[in-house]
Amino acid sequence: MDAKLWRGLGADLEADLVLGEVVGGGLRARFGPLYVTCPDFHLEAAKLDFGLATKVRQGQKLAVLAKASHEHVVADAQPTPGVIRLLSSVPLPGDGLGTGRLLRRNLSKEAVFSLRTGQGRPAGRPYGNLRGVAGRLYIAVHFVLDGLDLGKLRVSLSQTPTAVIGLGMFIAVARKRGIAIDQLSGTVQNDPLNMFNAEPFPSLSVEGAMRCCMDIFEFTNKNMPKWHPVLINGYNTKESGATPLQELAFLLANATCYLDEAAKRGLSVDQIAPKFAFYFGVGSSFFEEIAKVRAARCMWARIIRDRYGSANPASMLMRYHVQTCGSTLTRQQPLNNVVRCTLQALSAVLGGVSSLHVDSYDEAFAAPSEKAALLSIRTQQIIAEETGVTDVIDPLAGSYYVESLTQEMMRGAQAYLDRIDALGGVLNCVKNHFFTREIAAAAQKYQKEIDRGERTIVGVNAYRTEEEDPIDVYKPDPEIRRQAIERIQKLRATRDQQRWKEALDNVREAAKSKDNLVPAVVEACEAYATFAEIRNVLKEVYGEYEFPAIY
Amino acid sequence: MTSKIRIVMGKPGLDGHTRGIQVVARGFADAGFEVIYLGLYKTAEEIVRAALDEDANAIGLSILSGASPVVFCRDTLALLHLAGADDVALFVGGIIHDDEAHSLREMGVAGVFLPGTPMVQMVNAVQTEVEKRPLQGIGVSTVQT
Repeated sequence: MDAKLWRGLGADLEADLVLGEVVGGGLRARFGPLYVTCPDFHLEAAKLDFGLATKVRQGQKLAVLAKASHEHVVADAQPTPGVIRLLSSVPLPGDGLGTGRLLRRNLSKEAVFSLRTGQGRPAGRPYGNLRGVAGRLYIAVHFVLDGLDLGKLRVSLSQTPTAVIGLGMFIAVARKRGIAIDQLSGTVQNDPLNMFNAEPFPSLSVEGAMRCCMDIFEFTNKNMPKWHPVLINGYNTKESGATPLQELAFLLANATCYLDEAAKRGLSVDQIAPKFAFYFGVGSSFFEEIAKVRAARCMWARIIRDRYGSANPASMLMRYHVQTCGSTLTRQQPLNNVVRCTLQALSAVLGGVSSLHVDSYDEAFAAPSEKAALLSIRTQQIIAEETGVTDVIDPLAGSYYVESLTQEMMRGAQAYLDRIDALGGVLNCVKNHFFTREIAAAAQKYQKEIDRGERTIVGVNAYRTEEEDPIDVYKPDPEIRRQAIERIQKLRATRDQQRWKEALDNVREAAKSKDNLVPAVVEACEAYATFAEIRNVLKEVYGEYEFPAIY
Repeated sequence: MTSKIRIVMGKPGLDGHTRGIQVVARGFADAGFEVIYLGLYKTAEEIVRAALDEDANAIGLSILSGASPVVFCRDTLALLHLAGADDVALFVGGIIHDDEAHSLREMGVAGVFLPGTPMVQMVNAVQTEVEKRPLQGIGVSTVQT
């Protein structure tokens, strides 16, 4: 039941063979046999001079040997496994797919904060007439992480708009348990640029959000060496309607913006880029998606080399998570979604992934049932352990079609990057809603293709069946909400009011000053200030972002 | 001479998934409707107020968060009723349980659009419903074309 290792798959995380280029300090990984048909591989590898000696003949297995200069890397010759992840967002432990429960069962390594938490609106306090899922607070973070060894667990905190608070709570929990924060390992999403474009969570102003984002970069770089301060998200861009090309281009553009902003804080590319984690959505366009991730790895390496002048393989390396695309799932004939998810997962694996989440067949009805979620994990295990597709790295390299699609993807993405530069850079494009408009237009086009029958969606606009058997769907237990409200009420009644007030004042002062926000936020969390309370202080100082009503 | 259908659209509650409503709003606009898109995180009060201010024939809501639309739609219908605007037709689409869809229709929601509903079907449903219930308000500003 434990998350099994992706046999050999991790190799491509550490050593990418892309378009015949060897990218990254791949020497740490256990190499499976590389089967390469790309004739100019040798030339490309030599040109990049990554200290790799290669001998290859077209169509032969490739041996990649390390030169002495990389011995320090080779010494750590552990295979880096890919990771099976399961996003577990609903709701609290004790209920179905509670985050903590899945974490405890080692089924999930992803802690996702509910939207209500992301907005900083606490459970139990209606916002006008808004009603959402149960909120999560520091005390809830304690609860979710109860019984888990934070020193060993690698957690991804999928939180952006108030990532500094999410991280603050995580650190506070660790400190309370006596775990040194330099031992904490994981990722915080912390990707405000994507949020402005495609993940419209109520957010601080662009300036405020970028300030918080960069404070996390700075703080983790100094104090949390095993922590990834950003998960640069293409998935939500994709799910909002972007084409694979747009997803790739916008993700790369955002990544350069983070590097540029980090440089203003005195963080060099080689300090920060090796910590970057990326996140793609892989949808149904099988070869196009493979070309996209191959192009992504190659372009990232080139951007680091050419735009930032770094020859450090660790900076050039692109580690990324993939999730299959929920927007492709249909309510009609839901079991067809198992097939869709499997094909998307296979496409992701053939393209190369560091970690993977497979969506569940019932997601057009509700958040997944446990049965459906388990099937998603089994899907990964079958691909990883029965098919042999993970025995080779970049198995489609050299295919004329995949290579030409990859080239096309790179040209298209580069054209977008040039256009974004010409429009005044990423932050300008965010403020002018360039990305939002491009994505919305792509979503409209996609839907029109379905409506006109130019794009087939089986069971929806073709091959329909009149009668369909109902499936079991997940329903949240209202008790969860009640418990969450009870916890927050108890918390408010019992916390040290003086300490709480002072801690929030300190957050306000830090926000107004140039000091890093993270320590003050951690202290506020330790004083049991809630998400909403901390966020409201930040909102006072920075103001809020207004999402455009574009359609 | 036909009057343009005016539809106020918005996303209620805590739900950041905009793709569906953007696509449907565009589909309605392309079908000749006057679309007033309010954006995200709207309350029932805000949506009803906009519908009254805009002399809308219809309201379209999109809920993809997995939260139940029942409470929200009940509130919206109640506010419309209080304002004497029962003639405004309420439509809702998104991730909705089958039993909830049934309750919504029972309580007077004019149309429930589940994932995969063709655009043309939604356009027809709104047109048919609006024709059934011409606006009764004073000085109704349906745009003459």
